[in-house]
Amino acid sequence: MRLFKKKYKIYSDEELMSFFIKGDRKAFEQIYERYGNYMVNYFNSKLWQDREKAEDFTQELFSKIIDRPAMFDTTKKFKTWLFTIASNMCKNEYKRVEIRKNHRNDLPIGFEARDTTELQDKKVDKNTFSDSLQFELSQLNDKHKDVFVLRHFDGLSIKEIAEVLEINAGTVKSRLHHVTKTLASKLAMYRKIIA
Amino acid sequence: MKVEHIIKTKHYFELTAEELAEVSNYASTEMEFDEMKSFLMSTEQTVNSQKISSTPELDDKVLNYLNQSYTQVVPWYNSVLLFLFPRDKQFFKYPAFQLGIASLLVLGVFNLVNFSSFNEAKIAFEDVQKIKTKEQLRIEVVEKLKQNEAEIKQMLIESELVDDEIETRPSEFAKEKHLIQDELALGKDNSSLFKDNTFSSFYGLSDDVAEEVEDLYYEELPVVEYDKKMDDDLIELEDNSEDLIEAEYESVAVVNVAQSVSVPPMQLSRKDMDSEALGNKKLERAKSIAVSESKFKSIESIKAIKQVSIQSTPELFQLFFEVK
Repeated sequence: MRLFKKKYKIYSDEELMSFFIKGDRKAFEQIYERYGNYMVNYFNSKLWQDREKAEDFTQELFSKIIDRPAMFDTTKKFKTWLFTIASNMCKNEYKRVEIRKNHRNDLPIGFEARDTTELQDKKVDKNTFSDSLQFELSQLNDKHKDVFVLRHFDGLSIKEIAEVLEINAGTVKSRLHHVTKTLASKLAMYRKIIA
Repeated sequence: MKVEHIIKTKHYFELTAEELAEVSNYASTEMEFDEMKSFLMSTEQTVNSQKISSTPELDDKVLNYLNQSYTQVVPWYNSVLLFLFPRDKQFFKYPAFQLGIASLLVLGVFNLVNFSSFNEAKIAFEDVQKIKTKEQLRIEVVEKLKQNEAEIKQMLIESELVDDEIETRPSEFAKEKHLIQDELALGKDNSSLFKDNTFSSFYGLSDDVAEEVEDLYYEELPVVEYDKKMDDDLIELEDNSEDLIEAEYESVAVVNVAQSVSVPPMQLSRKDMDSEALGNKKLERAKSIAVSESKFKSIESIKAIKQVSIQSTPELFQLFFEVK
């Protein structure tokens, strides 16, 4: 049967999904191989570096695809579809956390569900570029942060970001330019160290 | 993105005029350019260092869920289609394409050499056969009609001859009359005239009805002593016989036509035959025939009429009308 063995690696994401819709389980395994790590990193970066949560979200995402593969339109790009679902899941999580934070009546006034106070060791770690970057990113609004993360952490193109966030490419360029300039100026002190 | 790539890979003094124009949005001076370069490279390093891999537990969870949900077997034709249409080859190297061309060549050669000519000849032969059959049928019908016409003419001529004979030899004919009566009387027990299948089936009679008709036939025959006056009566009767025969023939023929068109006698069921109304109707008709036969006292003439009637089958009449 080697003669008829399918080489799944040569197929595009969209073709693999069309195979999977027809019942080809191996096609999904190939898709997971391509995007499993990708999505864990995406969720990890979007959900406060919480690796456990990121894995749970990744499992939930792929379970959704297994349950309803026909939801994917094979004429569209799979990657952007996948990131759109992931982005929506993150938004839902943000809302859920926000709601939970606002409805914790048992907490005294002035206390929050998530501890935002900066610990001493964190202040020391902030001396590194990566921690500073994470801190500065957390200070940005979601619109700019999403564009930056999708571009630099997930490697999406301007067009793909526009499709995922359902905005036009010009807006993406504008936001990306703004956030890059802002972060570059704020983290300029690390220039000599890196160089 | 092209701008990011330029900033990461080049120094400021290496930039061309076009590249300078492209990066001007991000860095207008060399210091800004270096600042941006440093930021982008640091970000790239940070992202690479922070990358994590999915744990084996996560992989197992996802694939187990897949196995639970998808027990469906992969259709065999996916593999066959892949074999027939491989993606990494040009279309003329597809096995499906090559097989198609080969089969077209084989079929084309086969059709050119044998099959096409054979088919044409066969179709032409069948057409000729059909035309011939139709034409033959037409000819047969016309021949049958001509034959019937000739037989009728012959019968009329014979009838005229009988008339002439009666005129010339009335006394001998009177004697023949007795002989005929005797013959009929003798043949009563052995007669097969009414029990004849052709006769009974033609008139749509059952065996019982046929027997009844036979009895009536013989009852109606006048058994009288020979008298001289009978010869005169006979001559007078025979003078009008031709007209009467023709009239009777026409009436019988018309009845036959009506019967053949409406209900073919051969198609009557036993139940129909046994029904009282139908039986009575046929009995009435049989009676009239028997009376007319006894009236003419000419067995030959009656037989001639019957012959004509029997030959006038429903199929023949139908064909006759078609030809007309």
